[in-house]
Amino acid sequence: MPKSKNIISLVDVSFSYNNAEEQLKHISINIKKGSCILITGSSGCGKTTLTRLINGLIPHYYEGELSGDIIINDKKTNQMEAWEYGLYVGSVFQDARSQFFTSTVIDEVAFSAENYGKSPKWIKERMNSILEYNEISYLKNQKLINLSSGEKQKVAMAAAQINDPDIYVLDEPSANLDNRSAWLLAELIKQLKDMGKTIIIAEHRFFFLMEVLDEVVYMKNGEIDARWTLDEFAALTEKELDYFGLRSNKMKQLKVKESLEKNHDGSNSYLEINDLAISYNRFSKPILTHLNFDFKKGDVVAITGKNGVGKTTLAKTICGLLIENSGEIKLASKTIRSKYRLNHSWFVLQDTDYQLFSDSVINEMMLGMEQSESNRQLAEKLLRELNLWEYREQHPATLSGGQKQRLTFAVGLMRQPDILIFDEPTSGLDALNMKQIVKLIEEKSTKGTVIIIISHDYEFIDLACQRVVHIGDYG
Amino acid sequence: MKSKNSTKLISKDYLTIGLYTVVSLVISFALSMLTIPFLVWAYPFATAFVLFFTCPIYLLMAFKVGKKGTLFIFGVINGLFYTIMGAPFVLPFVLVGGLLGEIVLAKSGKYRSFKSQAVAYIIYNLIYGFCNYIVMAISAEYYLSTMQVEGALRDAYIKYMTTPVWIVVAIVAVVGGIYLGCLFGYKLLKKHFVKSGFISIG
Amino acid sequence: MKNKKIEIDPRIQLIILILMGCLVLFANVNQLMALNGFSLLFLILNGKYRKAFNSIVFLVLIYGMHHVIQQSDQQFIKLLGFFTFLALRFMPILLIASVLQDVPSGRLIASLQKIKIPKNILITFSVTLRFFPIMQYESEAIQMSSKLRGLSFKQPKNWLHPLNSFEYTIVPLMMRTLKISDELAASASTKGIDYPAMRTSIYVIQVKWFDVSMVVLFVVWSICVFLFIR
Repeated sequence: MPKSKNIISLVDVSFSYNNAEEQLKHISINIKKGSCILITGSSGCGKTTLTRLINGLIPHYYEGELSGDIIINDKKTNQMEAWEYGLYVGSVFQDARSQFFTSTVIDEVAFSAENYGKSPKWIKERMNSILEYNEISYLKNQKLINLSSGEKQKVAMAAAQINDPDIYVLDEPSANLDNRSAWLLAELIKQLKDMGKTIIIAEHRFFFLMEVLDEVVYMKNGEIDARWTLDEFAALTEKELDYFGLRSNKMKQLKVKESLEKNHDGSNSYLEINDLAISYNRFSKPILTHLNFDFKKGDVVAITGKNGVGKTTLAKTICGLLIENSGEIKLASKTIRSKYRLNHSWFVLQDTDYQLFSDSVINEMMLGMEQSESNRQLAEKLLRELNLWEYREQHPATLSGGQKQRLTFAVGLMRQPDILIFDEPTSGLDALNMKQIVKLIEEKSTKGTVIIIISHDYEFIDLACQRVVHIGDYG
Repeated sequence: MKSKNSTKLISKDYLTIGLYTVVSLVISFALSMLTIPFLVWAYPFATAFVLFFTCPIYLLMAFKVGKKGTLFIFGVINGLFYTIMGAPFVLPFVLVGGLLGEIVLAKSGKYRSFKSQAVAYIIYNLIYGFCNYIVMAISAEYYLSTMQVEGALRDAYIKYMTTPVWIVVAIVAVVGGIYLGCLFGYKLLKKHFVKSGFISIG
Repeated sequence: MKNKKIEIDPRIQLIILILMGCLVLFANVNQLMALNGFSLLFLILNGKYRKAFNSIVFLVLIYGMHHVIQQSDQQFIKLLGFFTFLALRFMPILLIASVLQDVPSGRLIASLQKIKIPKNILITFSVTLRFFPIMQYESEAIQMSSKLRGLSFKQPKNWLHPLNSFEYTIVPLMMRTLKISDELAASASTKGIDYPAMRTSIYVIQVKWFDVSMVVLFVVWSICVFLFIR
C-alpha cells in the first residue's frame, strides 16, 4: 500500500442547495488515508456541506446543483448508489437524540449492519469487539433513554463503527458534550486513527483535538482559504486565530476565580440564595442542598459542573420555573417567591427553537406584552441594537442560530428582567458570534442586571464572567 | 444528477409520517382525557373536538410529504399503535378509512390541495370514528342493561347513542369539526410553515 | 445474554393481545376479572413481578368499588360505575400490551419482518416507538418556555384564547418534529436504510414450546371463563 494514498479527492467541486446561492465554490482537496482532518471556519462557511459530500447526503438526500468530481476509495461517487456510502463512511452527527432508531444499546450498534443484510453471527461478534474497544461493554443491556449525553455520543460512535468503514465523518460531535466527554471523544478518535482510519471532523470547538489532528482546513465563503499542518496550526497566535475568526487552540484553565462561599458582606448583595435545596418537582427528593450564593448588582457569574449534576435545575429554580424545595431566595433583601421570580427573570435556553412562537421577528417581540406604543418603540430600539431590525418581518425560523439567540435575548429584554440566565449560550457558535454575546452581556451587566451563565466553555467564561461557581466534583 | 422519483414514498417520507403520527396520537390522547367527564352525554361532540386539533398536524404532514400513500400509512401506524395499546379492533377500520381517503386523493390528483386533503381526512375519520362510536355504543348498552340503569339517564343515553337522528348529529359534528380544523390548520400552515419556507403549497 | 425469564415471541404476544381485545367485548364483570387473572399470570410469567403486584392491588380496588356502586340505588352513582366497568374491561389488554412495549425494538422489528410486513413500515414503526419519550422531552421544554413567556396552558387567562394558545404549543412542536425527522432521515440514509436487499437481525425469531403452550393456555383459560363463570 503506497504510503500516502489519497482516500478522498475532490476535484473542482461546486454545489448549491436548491434555490440558494452557491455554497461550495470550486473546491479541490485531497485527503490522505489514515489522516485526521479538521474542517473549520465561521458559521455558514460550508464545512458541513463539505462533509455531506463525503457521506453521500449530497446529492442523495440534500438536492441541488453539483458539479465536479468526488472520488472516494478510488470510486467516482456519481457511480455510487445512495446506500453504498454507508459501507465506506461512518457518520456521527451533533444531536444524539436524532440519530437513534432503536430502544437499546445493542440494537442501535447493530442497526446499520442489519440494514446491509450482514449475517447475525458476524454482527454479534463485531458488536462485542466494538463495545469492548470503545469501553462501553458496561452499557450493553441498557436502554438508550437511560444514558447520559456523553454515553449517548459514545454509542453513536460505536454504531458508526459496526461496518468497519475506512472513513469517519463527524459533524460538530462535541456540541452537546461537556469538557470531560470531549476529551474522551478525542481519545476514541485517536484509537480509530491508530487503526488506520481516516477521520474528518467539522467543528468550531477543537482545543481537545489538538493531539489527534494531522491537518486543519479553513473554509471561508465556500472556498478553502487556508490549510495548515498540526504544528503550523498549533503555532498560530491568538491574534492570528482572531483574524480567522476561530476559537482557541489551547485548552484554557479557568483564570476567573472561584468563589463558593457566601460573602458575609450582606449589604452589597442584591440577589441572595440562602440554604437552597432544589429538586425536579415539588414532591421529589432534592438533588442539591445547602446552596449559598450572593450576587451583587451587575455580577456576571458562571456555573460549571458535569452534565446532569443539576445546573439547569438550579437555573430553572432561580428564574421561577420550579419551586424551591427549601431555603429562600432574596432580591434586594426581600424574599421572593417563584411567581415573582418568573416575572422578573429571563432564561435563554441552549436550543432557541423552543423559545420562538410567532410568525415574524417583530410579532415575536410583542407577543405576550401589552400592545402599547411604548412597547413597540422599545421593541424597535432593542431590535436595532441587536442588528435584527432589518429582519423584523421575517419568520424567526429563517434566522441563523446566532440571530435566533439574539432574538431570544431581545424578547427577554422587553420584560426588563433583574436576573438573566443563559444555558450554554456558546454551544455550536463560532468565534464571532461568541464575542458578540460577550459584548451583550457586558452591556447588560453595566446596567445592573445579575447574569448567571451555565457553561463548559472556558474560553468564553474567561471573557465574560467575573466569578465561577462549580457544582459537583471536579474531573 | 438523476432526479428523485418524486411520486413514490421514500424512507425520508416514512420517517416524517411516523413522527407526525406520534404527535397526532399524543395530542389525541391528551385531549381525549380532557373530554372523559363529558363522554357519556356528549360523545359525538367529544370526538369532533379531539379531531379538530389533530387537523393542523395531519395537514402539515400531508403537505410536507405530498405523495400518495401518506394517509394510508398514517392510518396503518395509528392502527398499530391502538393495537399495542389495547384496542386492536381499530385496525381494520383505519385501513379501510385510509384506503378510501387515498382513492379520493388519487382521483383529485393534487396532494397539496386544501380541498382534497380536507375531504380525504374527513372520510378517514368518519370510518375511524364510526368504529369507536359503535364500540362505545355496544359497551354502554351492554353495561346499562346488565346494571339495570333505569329511567331518564338511561333513556337519554340510549337516545344519544343509537337513534338515527343522533347518529346523524354525530356525523355532522365530525365533518364540521374536521372541516373547521383543517381551515384552522391551513391558516397555521400558511402563517408559519409556508412563510418560513418549509412547505410549499400546491 | 441469557435471561432467566421466558421471552415470548412478539408475534405470539400480538396474537394474544388481539384475541384478548376481542374477548373483552363480550365479557361481563366476573368474566372480566377472570380474564384479568390470565393477564396477571402473563405478566408474572414474563418476569414483570412489580407491575403484576401493582396491578393486582389496582384491580382489587376497582372491583371492590364496582361492587359498592352496584349496591347503590342512585342512578348517578350507577352511571359512574360505567367507568369502573371500562377500567376492568381495558386492564387485561393494557397488561398484555405493557409486556409488548418492553420488548427491545430490534426484536419486535425482526419478528414483524417474519410476517412479511414491509421494511419501511417496520423502520417507521420502530422510530415512532423511539419518538414518544423524545416528544415528551420536547413538549416539556416548550411548556417551560411558554410558561416563561406567560403563554402556557397552565395559566388560566390563556384558556380564553384556546386557538392562540394551541398555536403557541403546537407550532414549536411541529417545527422541532420537522427538524428531527429531517435529521433522522439523513442519519438513516448514512446507515444504509435504502439497501435493496432483505434486512437481517441479531435476534433469532423462532416459535418455541413455551410460545405454543402460552397460546394453548390462553385458549383453554378463555373457554373455561366463558363456560363456567356467570
